[in-house]
Amino acid sequence: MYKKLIGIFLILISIRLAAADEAQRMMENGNVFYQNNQFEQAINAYEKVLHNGYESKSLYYNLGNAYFRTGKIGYAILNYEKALKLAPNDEDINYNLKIAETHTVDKIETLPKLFYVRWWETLVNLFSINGWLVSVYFIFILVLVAASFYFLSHKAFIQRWAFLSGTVLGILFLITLVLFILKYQQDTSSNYAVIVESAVTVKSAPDNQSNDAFIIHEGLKVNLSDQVGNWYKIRLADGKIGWLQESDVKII
Amino acid sequence: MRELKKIFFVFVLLLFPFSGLFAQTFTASVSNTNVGVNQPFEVSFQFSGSDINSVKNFHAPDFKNFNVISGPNQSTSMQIINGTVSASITYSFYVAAVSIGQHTIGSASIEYKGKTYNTEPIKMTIVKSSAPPPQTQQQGSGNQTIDTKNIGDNVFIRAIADRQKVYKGEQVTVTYKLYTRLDISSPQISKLPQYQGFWSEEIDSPNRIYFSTEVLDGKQYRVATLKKAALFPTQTGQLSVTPFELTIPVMIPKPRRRGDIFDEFFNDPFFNRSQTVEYKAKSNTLKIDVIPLPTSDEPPSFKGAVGDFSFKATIDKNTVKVNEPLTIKLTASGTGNISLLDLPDVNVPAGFEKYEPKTSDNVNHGARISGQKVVEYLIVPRIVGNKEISPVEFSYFNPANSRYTTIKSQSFSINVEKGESTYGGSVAGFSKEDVRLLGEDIRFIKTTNNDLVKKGDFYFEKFWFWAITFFPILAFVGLVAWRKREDKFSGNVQLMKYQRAEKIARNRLKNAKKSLEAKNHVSFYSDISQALFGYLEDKLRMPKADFSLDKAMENLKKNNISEDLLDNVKNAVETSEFSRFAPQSDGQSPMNEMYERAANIIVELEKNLVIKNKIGK
Repeated sequence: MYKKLIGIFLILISIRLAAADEAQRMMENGNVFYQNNQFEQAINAYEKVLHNGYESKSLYYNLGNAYFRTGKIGYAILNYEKALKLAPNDEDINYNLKIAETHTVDKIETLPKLFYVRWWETLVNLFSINGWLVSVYFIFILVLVAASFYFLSHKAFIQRWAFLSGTVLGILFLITLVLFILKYQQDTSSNYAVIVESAVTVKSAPDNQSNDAFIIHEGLKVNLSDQVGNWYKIRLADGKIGWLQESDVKII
Repeated sequence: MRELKKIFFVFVLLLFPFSGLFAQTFTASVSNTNVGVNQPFEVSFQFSGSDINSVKNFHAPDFKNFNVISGPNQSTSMQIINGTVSASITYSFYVAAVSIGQHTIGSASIEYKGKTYNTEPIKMTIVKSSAPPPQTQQQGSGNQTIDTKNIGDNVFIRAIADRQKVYKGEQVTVTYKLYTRLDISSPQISKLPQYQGFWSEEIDSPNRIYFSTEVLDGKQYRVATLKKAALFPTQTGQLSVTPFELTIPVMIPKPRRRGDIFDEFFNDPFFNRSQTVEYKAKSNTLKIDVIPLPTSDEPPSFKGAVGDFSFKATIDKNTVKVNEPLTIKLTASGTGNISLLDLPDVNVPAGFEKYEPKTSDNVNHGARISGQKVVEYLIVPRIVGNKEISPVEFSYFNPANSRYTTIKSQSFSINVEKGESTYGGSVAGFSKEDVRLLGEDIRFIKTTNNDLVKKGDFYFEKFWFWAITFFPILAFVGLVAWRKREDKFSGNVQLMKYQRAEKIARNRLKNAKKSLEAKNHVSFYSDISQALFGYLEDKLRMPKADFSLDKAMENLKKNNISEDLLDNVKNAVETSEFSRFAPQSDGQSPMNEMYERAANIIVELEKNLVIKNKIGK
């Protein structure tokens, strides 16, 4: 009986591993295409990996590079932004995103953020969702260890230290838990999208007949604030508001 | 006088009881309902009420079958009688009938304080001119034989299109000409034509209007070209150009009475008495048939250019270093709609970056719109090697021969050499920031990471995560519970014994007391011994097997029990042990003493040990 269960378990694991292996192989194929300057093929390979349900910061980053090389700045920026979501502090991704942004038409002045907002964002983006979860878990285990010392020891000295460190760790646990939840919300409910059409006429209302509000171009990151039918209400970094169609943007 | 007015006022009140007094009226009147054809007459619409400032939206009737010579001329009058304001506003027109018969002047409407008032239509009987126009009797002095009646015949605007049927995108030239046989002063534009469905370009025309003479239908006119526009249809089907409207002040000679000696005398152009009439001239509506371009042999590179063009593509250099920008320039020149000309896109091979092109055009507004359009692409090679930029194709439709023409540029081969990664030069039309970053390329892909995970794969959605979360909790709870149990079974037994040592000792002393009373010598001393030994065993947490008096003494010493008490304890224990096995001798008194001693020792020890323990904690 046990042997059977273990056998099934092993088969399941090997299937999963094989699938992951295949995805990894496909990604390596993409890398080879990229190195041979066959960017279209590289894009195909990377997109296939994505299509199979896998992702990683390297995958998004490489795909962004391939799109950049083929001149699709909008898609390049989209994928860099996706990579940044998984690894907010990756230097390469930030650098390439900056380069790609210089190729966009719209240069919108972003209001500088206040220093504490910046600090806070840096803190939230210090880890990915799973990264934060692992930290929460780690601290949770430490809290348990401290609690164990407190309850299992009869020595007053140890109990005192266990209590003190347990309290500190408990506070830390709550903080990391909050940061984890914030990061999760920030990442899963994306309010940002990138324009992928070369030029988009933004309307003043979600209606084709309405007035043209302004024109934006490929690669611009916009904040989505509302949706009506297949129209998105967008807000630009400089505060302009308008509506555009779903197909003009891709959500990060 | 004042009295009289008052009486009149009362009289009026009586005449128009209440309702009629402040009523607003809006009436139409004509100078004569029976007029001759082409004979000008006045039509006036009078509105009277207390507050004419609230009057708005006057709509003149449709003067069908009549020719408006002038108007509307607006006049107002106001009267204040005993503080009551009555005012009237009059709109008057000079019109002339164009044909004989019964004609009706329709009703005019006006809005007053939200209410609309209409006039009654007026029936007019137009008869053959009873008095023929005086001009005909005059000694025809050239072309000055005109009266107000037929301004329209003598001053008009004609819109002329150079062709009626064009291809979509082909130029149509529309010319507006003013024809006049009268004296006019500078006209005012009241409505510009609307070119719906066309892209229009104004054709250069002199700022001043020059008149030339032209004969039309046997009459000589002075003709001026007002405006010329080149229109490029953007839709197919029948398109129309709305009329061009001008307000022209026309000088017309005053009718003369016959036999007037002064008139005879002044019948000279120099003394020509004339009046100025504002005449609204309107051009005809143009209809133009736009036919679609043939689709059968449309080349794939065709993007809507119609006309006659030449096209070339040039590149500024063929050998460049990596990251050094080069420019590809596409130039199309010729006749056609330059402004809307769409030049082909340059396809750059992979490894090149193409920046947003810079477009400039230069349109020549001659009779045929012509010019040149230049599109400059800035491209930056990022990869070393020999690259080829495929030829650029430009197609246009030539309406002159109804054929498509495709011009193909040569292909460019570019040798990209290795070079420094920085570039400091400047390129026209690109911002400093762009130029600064031109020299920078994106970083290479990440090839070493093997970090693929299933998308949306959050650890907390996994069974194993919760397993490794709950396992430590369970382990912790289990450990604590186990510890409690252990304490109960081992540690706590000792603790219990420790806490209950005194009680047990007292019980044993009680037994000893019973034995004392029963004069049971042996059981008394055994009880005393047991009480003391048991107490020490429990208090000092010493197992029975290990217990010896010396060890107990040592242990007590460690607990800081004073030497006196120690001696006392030792002595008492030894005495009781000794007495237990010694033969019965000295009766009651030593037994009583022994009992007291043992009780005292326990009390003392309890006090000291408990205090020590408390401090120890």
